[in-house]
Amino acid sequence: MSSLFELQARFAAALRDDTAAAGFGDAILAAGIDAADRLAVYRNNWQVNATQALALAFPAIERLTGRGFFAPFVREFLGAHPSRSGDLRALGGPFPDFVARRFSGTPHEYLGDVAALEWAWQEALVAHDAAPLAADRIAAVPAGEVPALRFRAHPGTRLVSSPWPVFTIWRHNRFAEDDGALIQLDRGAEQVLIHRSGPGTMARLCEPADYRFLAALYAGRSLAEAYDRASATASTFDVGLALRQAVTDGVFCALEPDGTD
Amino acid sequence: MAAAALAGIGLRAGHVEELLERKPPIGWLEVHSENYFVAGGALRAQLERVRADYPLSLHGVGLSLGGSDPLDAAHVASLATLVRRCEPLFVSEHLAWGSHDGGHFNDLLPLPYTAEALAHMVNRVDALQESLGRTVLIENISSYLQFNCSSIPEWEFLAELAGRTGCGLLLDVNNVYVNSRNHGFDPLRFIEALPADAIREIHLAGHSTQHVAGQDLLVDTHDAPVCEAVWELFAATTRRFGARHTLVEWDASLPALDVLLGEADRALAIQAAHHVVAV
Repeated sequence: MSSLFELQARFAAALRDDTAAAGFGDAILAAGIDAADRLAVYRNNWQVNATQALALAFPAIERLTGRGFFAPFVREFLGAHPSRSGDLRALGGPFPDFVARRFSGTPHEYLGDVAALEWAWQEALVAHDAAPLAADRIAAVPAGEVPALRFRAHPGTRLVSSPWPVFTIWRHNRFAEDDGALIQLDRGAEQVLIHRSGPGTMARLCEPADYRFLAALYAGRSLAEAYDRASATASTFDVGLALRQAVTDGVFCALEPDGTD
Repeated sequence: MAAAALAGIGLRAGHVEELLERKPPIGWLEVHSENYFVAGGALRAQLERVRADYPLSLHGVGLSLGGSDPLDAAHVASLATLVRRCEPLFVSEHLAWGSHDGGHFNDLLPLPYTAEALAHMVNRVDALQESLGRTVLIENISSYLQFNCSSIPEWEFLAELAGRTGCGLLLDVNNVYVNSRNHGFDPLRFIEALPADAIREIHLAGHSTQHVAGQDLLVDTHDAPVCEAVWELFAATTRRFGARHTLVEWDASLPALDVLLGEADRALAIQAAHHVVAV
């Protein structure tokens, strides 16, 4: 084992565990400030950088839990899920599940779904660009083949469903729409569509039938299957309207070749 | 190139829209490479707009060049994609490590300055330059400790690295100052020891002072104006090397864009007053 490797292993261990810092003292020139204090500067940088990166990706979670809670919570998260990338953006991947587990069975159980929505938004923001499916591609399909159509979701499309009013909570806290209104957690479930509009990313609430329709198409089911599911949710479901809206929103980027395309 | 084109600013998210709106007369811009490791979306589109109006350089902070894990091929591939897309003025990284055994600290950790670490950095810089098909610049970092095993002065380590790999150097004058205060050496000695033809870019930034165990420890926080002592060292650097592309960085507690542009103007004025021969 090289001495560089060994030194870095010991440095890393001393950063992760401050009780290991004293044992690293022999490697560092004391010069008036002891090793533990010098390492503390680096430990602080590491934790502050991670906290800022997660606050940027999960601003609603930071705001809802409060900064005093959020920073130590991130330290706990780093212990369980060390960063695996030199790109700090990747740090947030396991965070929604960590939030969900932490608040499971508490009055703040909804926070897991808020975090999932925030991460879906982050993923959509940086997803591949693609030209949205043009409406005339569907219009060109012979009527008899339309029910069998399957669609390829745009890389920037995400769907999030929650038993809590997750969109309302997120919007108020993400975009600081702080009108002083209290959000009643028992106001019911919300389903959210995140979609691209040009390079920009948008999000909107969906009616339950509309959401089932989109979720079925997103999962690769045919238009007929998606319609059946949506109709079972709301008998008044208007498939033409829902499909036109989805195409206008750029939810899809292509017809799947095993359909009629 | 005229000295007037040599001052730039680090472009941060909070300034992008204003900059694109106003298009101030600044010579060039630098972004953190990893911030644009994105497949698509508004960030990518925004970078295209910036690049259409300004020369751009890419400054990496996360590659862990000095780390003993294998060089992260995915990270290098993302950087290579970005380089192809941006055709940057410079591509730079740090004389530092940031990860071990797959775990990243997302920070610039200091290397021991030993023959072994130098040989390692030489291999890594060679590999990076080979992968990107171009010369990269390596930046000196601020550090808050020194290793007992270090046997080569930092400036010699940098000069040797440039000599053996052909890489350029990104001389961060603030980091030289911070280290000179933290580790007790004459910053001019550092500057004097570097090979002039390797210096391609200069960084300036603000730092903060922490009081630890009754002593001052300077920390490279990039959250304040460039201090007077660093401006003086920059003037000495300009006398020594001539005018080089010089960048003002500000990352935390981001001020108004005009404050940053004012710092860049001051860098330009010092270049104009002190450079003898623009190289």
